[in-house]
Amino acid sequence: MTQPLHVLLVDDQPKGLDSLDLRLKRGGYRTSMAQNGELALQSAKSDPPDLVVLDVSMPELNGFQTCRELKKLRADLPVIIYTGKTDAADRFWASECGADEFIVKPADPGLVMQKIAQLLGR
Amino acid sequence: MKVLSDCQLVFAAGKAGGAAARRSQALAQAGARVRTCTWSEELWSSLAEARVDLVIAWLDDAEPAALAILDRFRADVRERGIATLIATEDPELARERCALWVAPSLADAAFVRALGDLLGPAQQLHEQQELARSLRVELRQADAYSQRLSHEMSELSHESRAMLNGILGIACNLRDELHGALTDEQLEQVHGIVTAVDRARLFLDRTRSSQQLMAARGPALSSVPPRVQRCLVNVSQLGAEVCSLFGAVAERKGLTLECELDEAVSVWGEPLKLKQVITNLVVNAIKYTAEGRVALRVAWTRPAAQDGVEARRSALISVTDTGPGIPPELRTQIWRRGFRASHHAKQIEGEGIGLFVVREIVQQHGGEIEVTAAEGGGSVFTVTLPQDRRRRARPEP
Repeated sequence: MTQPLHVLLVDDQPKGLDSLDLRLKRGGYRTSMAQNGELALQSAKSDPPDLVVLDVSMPELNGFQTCRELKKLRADLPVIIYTGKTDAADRFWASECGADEFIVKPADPGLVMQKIAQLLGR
Repeated sequence: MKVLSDCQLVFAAGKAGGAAARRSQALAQAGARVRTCTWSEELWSSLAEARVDLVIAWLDDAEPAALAILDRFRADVRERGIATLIATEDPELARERCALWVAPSLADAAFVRALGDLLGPAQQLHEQQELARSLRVELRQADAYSQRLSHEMSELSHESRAMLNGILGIACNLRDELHGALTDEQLEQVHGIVTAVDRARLFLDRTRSSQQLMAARGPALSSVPPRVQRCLVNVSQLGAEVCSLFGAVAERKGLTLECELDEAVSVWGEPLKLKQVITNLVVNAIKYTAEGRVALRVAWTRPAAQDGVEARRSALISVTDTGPGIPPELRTQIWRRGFRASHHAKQIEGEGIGLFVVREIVQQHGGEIEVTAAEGGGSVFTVTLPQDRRRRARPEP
């Protein structure tokens, strides 16, 4: 039996990702949560994810910095920036840090699921 | 001499005595407050000490470097709103520097009179410069305040989006029955929440557009005109969002919402407005179709060649329904603001502005819209939008 794909959700307000978390679990994914960039990196080292959904505004290490560090661990790790930030500069930084997708909140979790499935080739 | 008596003068000369000293004394006797100094750093410390209205540069017996010293500090002097008068036999030296001029060979009384005649306009200029400077300060403060406000609005928008995301996530999960089946009434309420969140999101998007428009104007001192915010819009993505939002609404009405979206069909335009075009057409189709299907299609199309010249490709958006159709005689009237077909006016809610808005937006984007009869009944609304109105000669990807 194949292992379920592992999605790491990173947000300093994890309640906001509950509905996505539920969808992922119902969709056969395994999920884990981290509340900041540092914890996300620790989690990625101890339990490597297949994909990361990353908020931007987090204390200490922001989403873009975290994305850059995650890509150092595994260059082809798919990363989705999922944020309420909408400036062109944020899109630029997302692309600069190597993120694969940029989704602006609020978004239908069904659409986010579609993006996740696409990036994981499902 | 009233004006002269109101003035604070700095009299810079090469020597402490001689003609320069006599003119300086004559000015003081006429009521001016005069501070005399030599061509050196002392001049500039005199300027820095207190309010100064006019610098008199006495070049008649000045050291050779006097003009260079004057030039070095000219910008600072002008910035402070201080007028400059050059006393030299060569008026061209003053004209080149936009300075007032007086001949040093004038006798004391004539020199004072000449200066009095010049100082009236100079004083007015000084006051105008003072006013301009205080306005510049106020404008800079207004710019700083505007930037702070913009930053705070951006933070507020970010927080609001995060909160709305939580609400939308829960509502979508309920709508898609991840927590169990809902009654029709419950489903309707949940749709109400999803639609309300989408409206709030559109409001935040519009607020952001306004902020960007303000940013595009630049600081208040700038004369850059505002620009319309256009960008490359992925119409296929907009179609997917509309399908996701209204798929369940159609399903609940017993309709199928079919979405055939070619990948990355993109045009140059305003994303919010283009999304409104697709939303209005799809919502109209769902509203007026009792049974069957509504189909949204987004694809590339290439208009027929004209005079042997191949036309550039356009984005095509079509919405087909299996509703009652639009009689041919009404097809030119449906675009009017407030138009409602008489047989629908009482049965279906609406204000008759949806199609009017759609056509306005399509025309703003240089596109066209038409309505035709669908095969087997119903209507087809077809929108074509040019790929890029900015540069006609731009090569296609």
